[in-house]
Amino acid sequence: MKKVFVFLLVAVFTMTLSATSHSSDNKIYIGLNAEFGHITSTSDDAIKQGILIAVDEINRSGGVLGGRKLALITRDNRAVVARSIQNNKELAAMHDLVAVFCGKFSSAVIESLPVIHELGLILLDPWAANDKVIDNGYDPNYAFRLSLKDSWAVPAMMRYAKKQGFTKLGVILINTSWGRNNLDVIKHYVARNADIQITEVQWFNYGDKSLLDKYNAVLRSGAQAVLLVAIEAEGAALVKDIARLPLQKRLPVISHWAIAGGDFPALTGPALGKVNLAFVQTFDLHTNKSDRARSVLATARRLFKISEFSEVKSPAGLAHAYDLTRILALAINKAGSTDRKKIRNALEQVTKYYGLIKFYEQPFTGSNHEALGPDNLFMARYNSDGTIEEIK
Amino acid sequence: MSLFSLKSGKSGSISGRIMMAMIALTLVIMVIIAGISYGFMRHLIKQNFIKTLEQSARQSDQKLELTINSISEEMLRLSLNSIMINALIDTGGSKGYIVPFFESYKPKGDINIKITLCDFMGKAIASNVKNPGAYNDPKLLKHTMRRGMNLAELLTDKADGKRILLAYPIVWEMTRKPEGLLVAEISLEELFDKTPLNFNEDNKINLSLSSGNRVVFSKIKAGGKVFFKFTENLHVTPPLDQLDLRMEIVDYEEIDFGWLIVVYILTGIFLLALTIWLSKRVSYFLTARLRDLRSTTQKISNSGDLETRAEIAGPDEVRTLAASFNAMIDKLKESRDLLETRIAERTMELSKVNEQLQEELAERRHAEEQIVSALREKDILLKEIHHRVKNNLQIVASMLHLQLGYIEDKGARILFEESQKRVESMSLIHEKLYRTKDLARIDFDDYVNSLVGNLLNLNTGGSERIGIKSAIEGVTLDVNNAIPCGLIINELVSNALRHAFPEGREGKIDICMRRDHRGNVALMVGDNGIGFPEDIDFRNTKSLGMQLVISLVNQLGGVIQLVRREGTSFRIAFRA
Repeated sequence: MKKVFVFLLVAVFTMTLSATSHSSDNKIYIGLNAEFGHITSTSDDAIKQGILIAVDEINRSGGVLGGRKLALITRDNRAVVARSIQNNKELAAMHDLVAVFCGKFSSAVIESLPVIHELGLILLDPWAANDKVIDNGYDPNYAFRLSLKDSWAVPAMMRYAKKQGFTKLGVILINTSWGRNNLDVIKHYVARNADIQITEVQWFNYGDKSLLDKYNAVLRSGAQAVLLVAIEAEGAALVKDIARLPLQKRLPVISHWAIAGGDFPALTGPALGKVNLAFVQTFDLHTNKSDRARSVLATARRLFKISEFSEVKSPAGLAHAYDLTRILALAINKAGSTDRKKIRNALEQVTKYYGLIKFYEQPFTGSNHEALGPDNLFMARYNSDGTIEEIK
Repeated sequence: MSLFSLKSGKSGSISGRIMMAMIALTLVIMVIIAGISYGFMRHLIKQNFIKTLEQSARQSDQKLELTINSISEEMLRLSLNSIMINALIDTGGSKGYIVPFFESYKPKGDINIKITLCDFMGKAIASNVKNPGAYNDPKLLKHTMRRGMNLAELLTDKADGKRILLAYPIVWEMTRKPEGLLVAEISLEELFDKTPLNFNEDNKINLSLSSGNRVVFSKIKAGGKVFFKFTENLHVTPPLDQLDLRMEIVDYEEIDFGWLIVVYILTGIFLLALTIWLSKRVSYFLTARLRDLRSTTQKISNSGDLETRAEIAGPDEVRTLAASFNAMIDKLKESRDLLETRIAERTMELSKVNEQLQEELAERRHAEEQIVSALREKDILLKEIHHRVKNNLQIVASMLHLQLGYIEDKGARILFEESQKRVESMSLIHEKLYRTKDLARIDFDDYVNSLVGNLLNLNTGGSERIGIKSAIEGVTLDVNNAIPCGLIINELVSNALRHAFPEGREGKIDICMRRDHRGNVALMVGDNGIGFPEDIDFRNTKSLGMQLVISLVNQLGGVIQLVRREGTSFRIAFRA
């Protein structure tokens, strides 16, 4: 009984201290609700690194709102919708928390949108590609994205297929809203491009350890290449399935970018070299030699003990999160307050930011919450050393 | 019953007792054997039913367990289907495929199972029924979500009755943690209805809950009587083990024991008849020589002929008995002869003694007559002596009275008068003595009444102003004590009459005399007069009377005490 009493006393004291410290340390908090518990995902870590690098630089240069420091609070949703919603509710309840970053799982983001808008919480999307994250129908829209979206990725993949001479394509998609959104975009594209034909559509679920039956169905349909909408785990399973087939049965794979959300070369191993794989990307850190890139690399070396960007497993996540954090800081200063509504409005008014990825004349406007555009996309492949290289 | 009253067949005879004992023994053995065999048969039948019940219970156990395990395995497989984790990651987007999946899902077997996919907080995402409700019981979530273990639990609520809950965590390989749970719910009624449990077709076996709830099954032909009632617990797989399920034989056809009872009765009658015949024969055989011995004894007792002897034959106890009997007759005959001889001798001796006694008796009678005659003569003489003493004393008194007439001196007259009264008192003693029967002791009550009457007449001249009351409780005295005692009373009463009531005062004089159990005589002479003068010591007075009293008390060996209270009383005690 005595121990319980002491425990309760300590717990109450700690909670009081914590609440006091949050409210009295004058920091401004940024949330990150991502899939940290997902074993193969590296995008969450890249996003976190991008935010922390930006926060470090901002704090070192005096913070925001005349000296207030920024700080990051993370929550693990393990890619599960219910946890994502619960995390967003908890983060929204925190004082001086201005915005929440999300991870790469579109479903976890889309299902949170009602709560986000109900609570007036700013959602910053550095990865999740489903069009509906931004095209959500809410007004005012609290969701802002600095990443690609499916309606840009699919055309890029299609253009690449056509460029390679593939006119008959089989499609393998994840059985989620993200997969279905991609299929809608594919159908829409095919409807406008008669020279492309979809021979087969196959669905798989998260957790499927082999997609061979799906691939064989595509193969039997006469497809010349496979359009893949998957994340790294199931994407790696398909690559390994294909690699085990005879050479003549190995179709080229044109993938959505989400396979790069993990350490894909490690997951596939030698199989990666046996499959013709191309995937969508938005940014190549290795080729970026800007002052911003050098500054970011310097901070990354100091904070995370890395020597080169090539050591970052999902570099796009780092770059997107970095630029998005920087834009958020500008919006906070522009709003002159931690009031989320004011910051949301300020986000639509930020202009002329020299980012890591590009120069943003005005990242967001009242009618456009997409900071990137289709032009920022390119097709890439993995080198033998695991680095990502743009396919010229 | 004596040995001589032996008669075959009588219940009190030895043969009768042997017969009764054999019959009783046979009956006891028959009852014991019948009881044991009946109990044994019942036991066998009971064991058979217990075995049947246990077998049924085991088989039912296995079937229920198989059913539960089959459902468990199917649900486990279902929980591992990637569509489940997919739906948890893509809850909203999954509605298009997860809902149809559940709606079209048909569990194996014909048992209806409510299957629900829940998120990590127990909120239903999809189910094969409409409005499945939430499974947010803390125990359920803790067990499946935190521990990542399957849970089999028994649910009870008033609305739906007892149900079985099987919960399976949905574990995603990518997080290696439970992200939701698949819950299968089965109605207990449905389970029991659809599980073909094992029943004995000949018997009625119920499967019931100890709590008395509704799960009761029966398969039995109608009729029959309750003979045994057994219960066998089922040890079914969890969560059914929480139910305390039991199989119970409540009714079945009674075993027909009629033939067994008929066999018992017929066997009993036969054995009883055989026992009676055998016991009769055995008792007749065993008591044959006893009967001979009995005849010999009857002959001797009737005729008194001690020359008759019992036949000594055979090797057993009867031979010893006959030999002992003959020896006893020999002794008896010898004793009788010796007794007759002694009686004759004693008779002769007694005749002689009798004659001597007759002679002594006559002599004694004669001596007694002489003694009586002598005694009578002595009494006559003694009476004559007392009479003559009394006459002589009366003469002395008369002489004193005559001389009194010649004396003019008052003091001398008084002395003569007192001497006269004293002589008369002594005379009265002797008068009383010769009037008594035994001449030895005098009845003092009679004496005192006569004495005080005389004294009262002499002193008061017949006046009634002074009353004398005597209370003498049967005191008798011999002549040696009577004369001094009479003189003491004479002196004290005379003294009281003369001095205690002067000047014509009225009063009373009390004389009390009694003897205690030790022979002490207490005499009190008292009056309510003016009292003994305080200045006079009654022991040293010049009064001749008081001196005489003191002297007489000393003569009696007694003591005297003067009490001056409400008059005067003298208390004298002596042994007599």
